[in-house]
Amino acid sequence: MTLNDIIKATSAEVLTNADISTKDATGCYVCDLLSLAMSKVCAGDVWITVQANVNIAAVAVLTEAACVLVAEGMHIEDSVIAKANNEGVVILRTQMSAFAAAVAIGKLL
Amino acid sequence: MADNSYKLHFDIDGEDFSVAGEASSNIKKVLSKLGVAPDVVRKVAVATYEGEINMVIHADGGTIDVEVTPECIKILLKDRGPGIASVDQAMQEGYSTASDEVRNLGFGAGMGLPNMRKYTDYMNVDSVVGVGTTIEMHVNINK
Repeated sequence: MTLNDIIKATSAEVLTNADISTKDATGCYVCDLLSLAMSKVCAGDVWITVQANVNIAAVAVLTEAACVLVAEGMHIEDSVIAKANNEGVVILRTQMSAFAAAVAIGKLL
Repeated sequence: MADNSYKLHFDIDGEDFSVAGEASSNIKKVLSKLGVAPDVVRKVAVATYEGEINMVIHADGGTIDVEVTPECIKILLKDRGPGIASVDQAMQEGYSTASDEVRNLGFGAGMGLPNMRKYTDYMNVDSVVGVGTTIEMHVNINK
């Protein structure tokens, strides 16, 4: 599935400036504990979380997640977006719950 | 094999969550450029990230030294924090002394040290209350 597929399926907005036109995702993981996400998110995963602090960018870089999908329309500070842009991390935001977003993405797999 | 080793050193700022993970990210990039296998890079990234976060949360910073040899990646974490009263207890999943503020950021789930042990082939924790903590970890390259 492409990130564009995910954006459509979850009505997500793109918050970062990395080129996503040709980017794919291969799986999905849902978790708000960063240590657990750190050890369980696989390269290429969409990582769904309601965490919106600056450390989500670090976890996304280290796990090579395809993107972070912030659920529930959580507010994200500009500093988090700036950090993600510096690291080439893609952050999307949806108004859906984490469960609803995971179900929508599951249909794409 | 000292002649064939490659060394990295990082100073970690304490209490600054905005830069937490930068050292681990740099280590990951260097190891990838050196041609280290992705699964080994992943193990080192998880272990160093957990160590880095622990230094920020508990110890007001510290240092990370990484030595890459043909056989393994050696990681040395040093801090002058409060020390760990019971290493055995701290090694149990779910045990944490992190504040509510830290937990709200998604940390403090009591998985730091267990993750470090899980993702390394050797780990030794040397901690003295009131003095600090030194953790040595090895991740084998050919395993």
